[in-house]
Amino acid sequence: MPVATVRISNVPNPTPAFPDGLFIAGSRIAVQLEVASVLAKQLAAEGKPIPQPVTGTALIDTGATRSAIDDRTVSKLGLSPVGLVKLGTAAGQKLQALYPLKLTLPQLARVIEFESVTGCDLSGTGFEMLIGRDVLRLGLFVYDGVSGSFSLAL
Amino acid sequence: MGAELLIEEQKYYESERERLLAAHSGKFALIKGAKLVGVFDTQSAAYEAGLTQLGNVPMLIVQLVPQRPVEFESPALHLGLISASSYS
Repeated sequence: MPVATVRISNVPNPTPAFPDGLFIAGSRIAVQLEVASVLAKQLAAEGKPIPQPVTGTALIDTGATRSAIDDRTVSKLGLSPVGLVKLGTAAGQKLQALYPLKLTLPQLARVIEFESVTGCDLSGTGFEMLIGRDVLRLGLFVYDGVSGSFSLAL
Repeated sequence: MGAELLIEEQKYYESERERLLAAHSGKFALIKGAKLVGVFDTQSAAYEAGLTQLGNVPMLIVQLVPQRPVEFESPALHLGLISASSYS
């Protein structure tokens, strides 16, 4: 099982050992998001263009039951909803759309085909995706706050 | 965003839910508009059928099981804490 160990250094004035980098930035990892393989195949068969992958950053969110992608990424990839999910918010329950998605984690050389992820508004967070416990249940995630690094094996 | 594209499908499903659940418990229903397109063993089979028959359009795929509690929670997102920073 490949393991990615990430030490956060993309903060102002990083030092080789900067534990607060992880505290400030969170457990973030590079992602590539694209249409599900079955949709790409269908679009190709219809002679339609396949949207270009979207690259960005995901936050590993152990508090999220499911993975979620930003609504703007949904638009860029031309995704159509295939289902609904009940969303628990401070204001009560609401319904949110679900979308099929292909996720690549370049640092792990790992591809995950989701039957569905939740669409949500991540504007202002700096993230294109939240990686939730539906992904974490597939592997091992270690958060080392003392050294300022985390490891993810999938 | 997106859920509003499935309002018609949602209304149809809610009106037919008990009947579908009794007839096809555990299966996956594929609904487009106010019409049941088909019932499938897996979600991926339902999606592939939907793509083939309907194309890349909004469609509702729902597993026919008793009602579930909340399925997506992300407290940090909902509380606005993902990008919280010190006030200065």
